[in-house]
Amino acid sequence: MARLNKDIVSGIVLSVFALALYLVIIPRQVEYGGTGPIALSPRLFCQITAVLLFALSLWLVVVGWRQSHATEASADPVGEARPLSRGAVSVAVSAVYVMAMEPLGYFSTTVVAMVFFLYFFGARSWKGITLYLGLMMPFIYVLFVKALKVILPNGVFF
Amino acid sequence: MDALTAAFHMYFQPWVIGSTLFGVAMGIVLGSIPGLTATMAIALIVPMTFTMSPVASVGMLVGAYKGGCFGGSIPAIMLNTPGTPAAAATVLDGYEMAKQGKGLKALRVAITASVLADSFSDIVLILVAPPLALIALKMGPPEMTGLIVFSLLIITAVAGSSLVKGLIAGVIGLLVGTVGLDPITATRRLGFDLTQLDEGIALMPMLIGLFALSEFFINAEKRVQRSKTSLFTIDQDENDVKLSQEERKACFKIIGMASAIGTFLGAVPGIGPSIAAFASYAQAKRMSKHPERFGHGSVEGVAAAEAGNNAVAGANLIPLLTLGIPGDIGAALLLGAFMIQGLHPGPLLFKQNLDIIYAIFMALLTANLFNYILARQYIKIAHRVAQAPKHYVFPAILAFCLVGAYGFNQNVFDVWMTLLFGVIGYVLRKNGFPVAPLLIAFILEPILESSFRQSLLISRGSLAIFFTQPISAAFLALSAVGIGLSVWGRIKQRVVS
Repeated sequence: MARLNKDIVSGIVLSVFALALYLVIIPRQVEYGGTGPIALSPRLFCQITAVLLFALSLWLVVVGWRQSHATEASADPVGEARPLSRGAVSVAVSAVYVMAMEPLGYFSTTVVAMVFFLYFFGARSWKGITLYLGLMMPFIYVLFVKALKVILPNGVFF
Repeated sequence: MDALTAAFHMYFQPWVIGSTLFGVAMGIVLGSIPGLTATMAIALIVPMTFTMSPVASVGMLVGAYKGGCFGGSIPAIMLNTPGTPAAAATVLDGYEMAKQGKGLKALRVAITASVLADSFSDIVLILVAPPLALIALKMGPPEMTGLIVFSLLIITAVAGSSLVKGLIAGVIGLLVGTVGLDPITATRRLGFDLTQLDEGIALMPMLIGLFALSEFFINAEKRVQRSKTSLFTIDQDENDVKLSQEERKACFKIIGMASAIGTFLGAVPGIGPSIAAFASYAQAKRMSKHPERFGHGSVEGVAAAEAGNNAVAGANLIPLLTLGIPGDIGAALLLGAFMIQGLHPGPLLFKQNLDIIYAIFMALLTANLFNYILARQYIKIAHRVAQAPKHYVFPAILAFCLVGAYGFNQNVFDVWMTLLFGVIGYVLRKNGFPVAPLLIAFILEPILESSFRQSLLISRGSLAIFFTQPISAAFLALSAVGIGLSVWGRIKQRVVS
């Protein structure tokens, strides 16, 4: 079975989203404007964008379908998986970092996150990593806490 | 005269001038590191301006914008890697000059061309903006609707390689802009009962997420290899670096031409610095006495590309300041930053805060001077900074993004929004969708929706008002022509390839 063109998948996902938006999300999340002039309806602009999104998504599906017929499939699922998995890991770790920021404090979570990402990006010298953290944390503290008066989360450790 | 005097007192304070200097320095340094564009430089600097006065913050951001515009030419010349998309034309001759040992000469030509062209377009802005703002004040809701539709269609049409994806990104931006309270009835929309979304989605977390954090995720996909790029030596002998009389004459002529092209194109929303740089380069080649040298290390090529791309910087502010319409992503970031400071660019700003407008003009001209002074010194060490190890640069970006987002309202909800938009930006970019139209459409949505609905109220629900009002009809006709030309151009390109 031929691998679906990325544009076709994107178009289908967006068109389903646009339909859900028009039929379900907008009616539940936006008040009905009543029987007054249509311009006063809070739903008007939301519905217009949903309709535009649906139409453009279908156009994208058509464009993707034409392209997949014009050229041979060049996608390399195995080759693409590794970069995407690294991307997914960085998103997941960033989410954990943000989740832990308030309870554990900005500086403690940032140190841990930085060590992880420095290694993740390819830094291997522990001396370099230590020196980097030794410069960056005080810099952030001086700039944001002292100069810009931002009150960063302290967490349980401070 | 009072406004001018007030602006002078507002701007020429040590702290305010210092912030402009700092902004220029940050813009040059960050723009010169491949992977960190001028756009990201502004996105990272914006959180630093929250506690500043409006004039100081505008000075810093305008400085960063201009510094970043030039900064991108440094890796273009030294490393064959444009630091900003607009510096892609500079690579054609700049890198060739660096290979011939004339890197410093190329950088000096680039600085001079950038600053002269930027100053030219700033002067045009100063002369043209006030009368244009007066005209804009007379525009009613149908005219504003037509203008914004025209701007959005042009911006989405030229962004990215796919017209339909650009349009989809724009529509998503409009949709995101509807979140919050309805502008007419003040009822909640698409907030999913989150009170933090009553005022809509905050611009700053979205901006940082879409541009800086998404870049982080994209770069996280590959482990950084140690760069094998060889460093070209910078020739410090003044005799080798100076331009000959003939070169100087040719360059100044080219800079004048490219400044005019860049300023004209930059004043049209959506036509960004890349198009202006290549258009200027092509014209310079036609005008040159030695067109065969282009592409092989011609100083005229470097001068044309840099002048074209930097002339857009000032001209882009024409639609921004007079109409509140950002012409490109850099201007969109400036608009967002202005709004955070309580300034709403548009014709009313000229009417109500003329002193702020004059202070902005002073910041623009001062930033050019600082750009020249700082860049002349920085280029001597720039090749080392441009090779800063990426595995140290990108984790720092994450830390700065999240602390910047948090600092906006001291609220972790904004950090989550930054992360959300970082993921959205990452997914969109992986699938070939440009993110610039999304942000610009989001910024313009409130004006577009208000103007559109007010027009319908005036016409009692009839769409004919947009076609019977001459200015609105003209903008809509131009939009149709613009889209038609874009589609035709893409079809022609496909047939040729």
